[in-house]
Amino acid sequence: MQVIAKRPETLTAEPFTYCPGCTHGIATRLIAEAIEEQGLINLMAGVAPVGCAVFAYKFFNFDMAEAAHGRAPAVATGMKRGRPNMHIFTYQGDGDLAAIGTAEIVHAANRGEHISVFFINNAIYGMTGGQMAPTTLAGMKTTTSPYGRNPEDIGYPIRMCELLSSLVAPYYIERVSLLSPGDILRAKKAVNKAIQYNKEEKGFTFVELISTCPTNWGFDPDKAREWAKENMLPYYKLGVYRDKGEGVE
Amino acid sequence: MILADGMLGQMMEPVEFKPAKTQEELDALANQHLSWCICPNADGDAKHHHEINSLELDPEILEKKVSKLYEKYAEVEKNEVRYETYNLSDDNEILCVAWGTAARVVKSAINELVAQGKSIGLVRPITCWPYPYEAIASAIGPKVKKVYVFELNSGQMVEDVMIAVNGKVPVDFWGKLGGIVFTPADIQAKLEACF
Repeated sequence: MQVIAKRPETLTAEPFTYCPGCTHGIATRLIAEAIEEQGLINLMAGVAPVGCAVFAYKFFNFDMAEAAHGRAPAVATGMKRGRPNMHIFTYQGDGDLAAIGTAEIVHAANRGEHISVFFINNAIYGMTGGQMAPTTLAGMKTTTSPYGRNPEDIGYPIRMCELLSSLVAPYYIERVSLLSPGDILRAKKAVNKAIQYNKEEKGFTFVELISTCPTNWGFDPDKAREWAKENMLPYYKLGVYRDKGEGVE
Repeated sequence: MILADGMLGQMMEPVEFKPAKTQEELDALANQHLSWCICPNADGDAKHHHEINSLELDPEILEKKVSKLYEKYAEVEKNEVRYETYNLSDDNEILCVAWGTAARVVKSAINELVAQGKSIGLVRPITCWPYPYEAIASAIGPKVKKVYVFELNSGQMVEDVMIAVNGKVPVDFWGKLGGIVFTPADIQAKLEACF
């Protein structure tokens, strides 16, 4: 019998704890595949966030640390500097990375730490019950913005790729989405590139993955993807924001 | 956890950090694949998946994990407590407890009173946790009438001293606020009033 699809060696057999239709599982799989394809299973370690993806430390089949909320880039900095021969990534949501962890991500990027950061942006706090995040769109209703986010009061959603692109040190910054099979293939390329640059010790790499949260948005998975295409993509523009390897500054 | 204050925080002197371990020692440690380490992986049976975390969803597993941490804390409490004692003797009539800058002032006051023939001891806790409860309890000599706590705050440590003294003798407290530092003469006056 011929094997045409199997679980990457870089994933454990632990069942994912994500809601049906959530795109976290896809992101996790893409990262695992990239690590396997780059032959890094024995030299990779990661940092799990606080939030829906906290159990990332159970899913990836190598050493994983859990960081306090938002502190994954700081923990990853320590891991990389303490084990320079290893390759380190963080997996973080927008509540983790763009709210409580804003200082950590900005300074890790500014120092040009040799780590990869995978940033799952679904414009909401998922695990804690659908509260407004810094990435929540203007007018978007959440449990803590029941009349819709009012930028006059709360400010505008933070665009992390654009913000980090203002720094000199980062080597690679790209925003992709997980909203269609084509998008997922493009996301896979971006994730692969980040892991490849990580392997080559090029510097700080950052991939933002526009994702959905059907449970807290109150849509079924199909509607959630359509909603994200119509509402998130015009504000969170996909593309390469920095790629020093390809001359994109 | 070290007890420090604003005055200590503003002191500066050159310091040279040396590697705690050599690269060879670090590599040797990594090659042991200890369960609490993030380290390069190995093939076959030696393959590992260490999870450095504090969270478990199963309460039974989490209880075991937390119990293990408490065993570690108990070990730290046994081995890492730090404090300094000053002028302790069986003749002490008062025992002072003070930390940081306050302790330095109290020492000067004690020196002055010792020159006058009085006997006063001092325990200066250095670690906030583990706290030197035992050291304070055993410093209460047979003639000690009172334990006097001096702090440059409104009493952050005094309750821990009370736990250590455990009602054996009265515990008194005096503190200054807002960055005012008491002088040795101030402390001396407080202590003299106890005799």
